[in-house]
Amino acid sequence: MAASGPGPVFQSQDIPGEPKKTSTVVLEKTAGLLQSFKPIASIHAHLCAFHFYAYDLGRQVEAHHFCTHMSEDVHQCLIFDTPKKDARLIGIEYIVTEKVFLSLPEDEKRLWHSHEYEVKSGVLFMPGLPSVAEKAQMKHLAKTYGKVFHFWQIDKGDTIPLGLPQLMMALTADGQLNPQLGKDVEERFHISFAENRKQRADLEGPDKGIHPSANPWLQGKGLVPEVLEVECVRNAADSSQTSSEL
Amino acid sequence: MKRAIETHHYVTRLNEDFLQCAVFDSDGTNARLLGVEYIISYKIFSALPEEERKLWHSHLYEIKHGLWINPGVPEALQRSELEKLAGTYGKFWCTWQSDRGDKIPLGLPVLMMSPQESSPGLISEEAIRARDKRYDVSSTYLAQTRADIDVGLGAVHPSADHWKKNGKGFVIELKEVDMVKGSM
Repeated sequence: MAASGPGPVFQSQDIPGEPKKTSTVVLEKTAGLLQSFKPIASIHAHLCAFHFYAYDLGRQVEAHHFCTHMSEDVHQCLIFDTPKKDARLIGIEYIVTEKVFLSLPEDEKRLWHSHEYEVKSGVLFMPGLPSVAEKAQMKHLAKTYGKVFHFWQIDKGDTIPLGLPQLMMALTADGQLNPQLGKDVEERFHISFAENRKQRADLEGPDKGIHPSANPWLQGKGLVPEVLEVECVRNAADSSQTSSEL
Repeated sequence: MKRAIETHHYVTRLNEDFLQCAVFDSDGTNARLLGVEYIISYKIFSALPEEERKLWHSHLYEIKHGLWINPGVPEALQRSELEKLAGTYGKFWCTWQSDRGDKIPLGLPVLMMSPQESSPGLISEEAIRARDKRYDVSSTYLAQTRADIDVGLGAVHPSADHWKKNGKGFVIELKEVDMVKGSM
């Protein structure tokens, strides 16, 4: 299947395999009633934004983040291709405050991207929330940094997650977002990036400015994953060794 | 591979042959999101290119030996699902190595392997006992009741669990290249 343009052109029906049987659905519902899902229930926010591959600005993906606040300084997000029930889980993003980001080693910083532009330009939004209601979260987000990996290259037409984890990056200036992709999202979610931008005009990015080690692609450095084979570190002969011993 | 971790998978089944899981380090409200695992049937796995298959692990051993449990669900109720899952293959990328003390997720994703019958795939008795106690289960008992699970294929596909072939695992690195359509 060829990628035929921006927007979520690939539907879950494309995943190979038989549709769920009624017996499977019934079993899931029954078992589901017996269990608790606390880590999932902790999810409190839905953000929509755009990611691109850390080596190719042209490959842009609409990304629906479902986020949990671990603490004041750290969020963790599941990334889906749509906010629907049959959405594909395509990646993970972690979000940290400026304070945490600045404490990272240099070679870690280059894996992260800033959020100031996405927030201030209005292209990052919370579906279903009016601009006024999301403002407080946007104020916080504008100063944060994110690290995102995608595991499923749906823009390439992969019907299942193939290959290696892909480091992704986020927009940093006007003129980067594919206009058709942006327009498609505005229409589907009935929002206006321009209106968001107006509402957020007074927001500010990181206090110390965007760190030069983040967004490495801006210096022309694309980052592509490779896999290497290495010797496994083995369990000790004594099988009662615990996992805390390294 | 010396570092084994207890993982909590929150699973969505998209069809009879494909599942996706958000993986956490506990089942509590403050659980850390450790990564994502995808699970596919033998049918899908066997159609993958060989290079792709090397990244996937089998589930037969951990299900049959009671290492994999669905907390709170009676064994009889989940038996049919376990039989299906026993014949599946998983690809699990771990993005937060909280077991080594990382307070935030550092570095690149790590490919995870599943428990197997030989080192370095062994899980410590202590870890299993602790898990059994917490969830009030007996992996020994589960292994007995699951001994007859038969995935009908004779054996696990030889391309899975690549480390068993040559004792080598996979590590991800990033290579610097010229950014495409990129630099401003």
